[in-house]
Amino acid sequence: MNQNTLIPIGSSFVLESEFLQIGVVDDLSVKEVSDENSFFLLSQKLVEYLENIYIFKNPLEIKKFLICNKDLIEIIFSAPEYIHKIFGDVPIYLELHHDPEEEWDELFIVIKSDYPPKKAVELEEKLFKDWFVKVLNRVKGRLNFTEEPL
Amino acid sequence: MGRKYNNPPVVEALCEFQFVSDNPWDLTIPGLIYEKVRDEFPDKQRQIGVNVRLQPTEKGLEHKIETSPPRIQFHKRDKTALIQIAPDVLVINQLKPYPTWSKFKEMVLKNFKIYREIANPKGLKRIGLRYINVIDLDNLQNDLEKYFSLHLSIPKGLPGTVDSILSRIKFSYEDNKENLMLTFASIIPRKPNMTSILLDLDYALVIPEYVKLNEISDWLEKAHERIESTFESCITENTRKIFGESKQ
Repeated sequence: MNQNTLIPIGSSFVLESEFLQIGVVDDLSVKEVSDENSFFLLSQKLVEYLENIYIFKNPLEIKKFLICNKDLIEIIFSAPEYIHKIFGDVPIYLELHHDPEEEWDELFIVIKSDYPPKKAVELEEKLFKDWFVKVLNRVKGRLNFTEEPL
Repeated sequence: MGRKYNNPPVVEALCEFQFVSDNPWDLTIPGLIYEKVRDEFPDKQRQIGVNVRLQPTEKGLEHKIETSPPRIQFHKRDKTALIQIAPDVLVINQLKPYPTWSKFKEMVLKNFKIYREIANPKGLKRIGLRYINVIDLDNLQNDLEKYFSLHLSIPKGLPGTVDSILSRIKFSYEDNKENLMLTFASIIPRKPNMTSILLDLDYALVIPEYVKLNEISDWLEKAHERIESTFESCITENTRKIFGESKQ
């Protein structure tokens, strides 16, 4: 099996097996994301692909926001590695919050976990130190993260 | 010569070369190319790479998503064009505003020559000439056939409303040595309350070393003609009105 292979998340086991056998996976999904040569379409495809990693609370708004804030895409791609290392295998959501008074949108990574509150805060602090502080000057108030109980 | 538009829908034109090489990739190649192109393409950037790996686990196959080594990009100062370098790959991208075919072709050939001189590839594995067009419409409920002669037939009586579309057609040329991939799809709109339709035309040589390194100019001309004629066949007079056809 090719090491760099992709199967669609949530798809049928039968189809996944078929895809792997006939190599369709390499031709479509991986090429479309990893080898996209178009500068314009890469961000579109990366945003669409993020739906395989995060649960989008308000998908259309989030996608439009990310297309207008392309520099956040790479940061959002890199986040799960840190989140899963610290919180374990937990679901992560993207939520776009709109402040009509300030005319300001802020995207939240919401980490759902069943840790007790004290432990959850501790882990949030660790995530801030290990990851968020490194990207803080790039997010410029447009991206934040929080932990919520499952 | 094809039609000219005052507001052409092309958001990007790009030419991709994948090379056949006798030698392993030399990591100094991007730097050597940069020395040759830095006057025109001074801004260096890296492009995010996304690698998706399958890992067998007790629970079955699991995805592991990682960022991969980025490819190197050299941008023009005004961000209207860029060159991308990856192992045995050269891509030349023209963003908006698209100048003319002759100017874009000149940029492609110039940078192809620089790559050839420095990397000394043995041959061509793939060449792709691609035009990415985006047409903004009021909303997807509009009659697509009003704007496109290529359209989807949606059976009447299906529940729900159309949210997004994706259609892909591959046309073969030259005894399957070349093909044109046409993608007709809705994409994430750039403006509120609009639907953005993508018309992506990618003409490619798919048989390695079928075209020689010194035959590129003629191949590009043929590819461009086929893309242009396909594009014109896909749109209607209503769309031409949106683009504002120039009579010059």
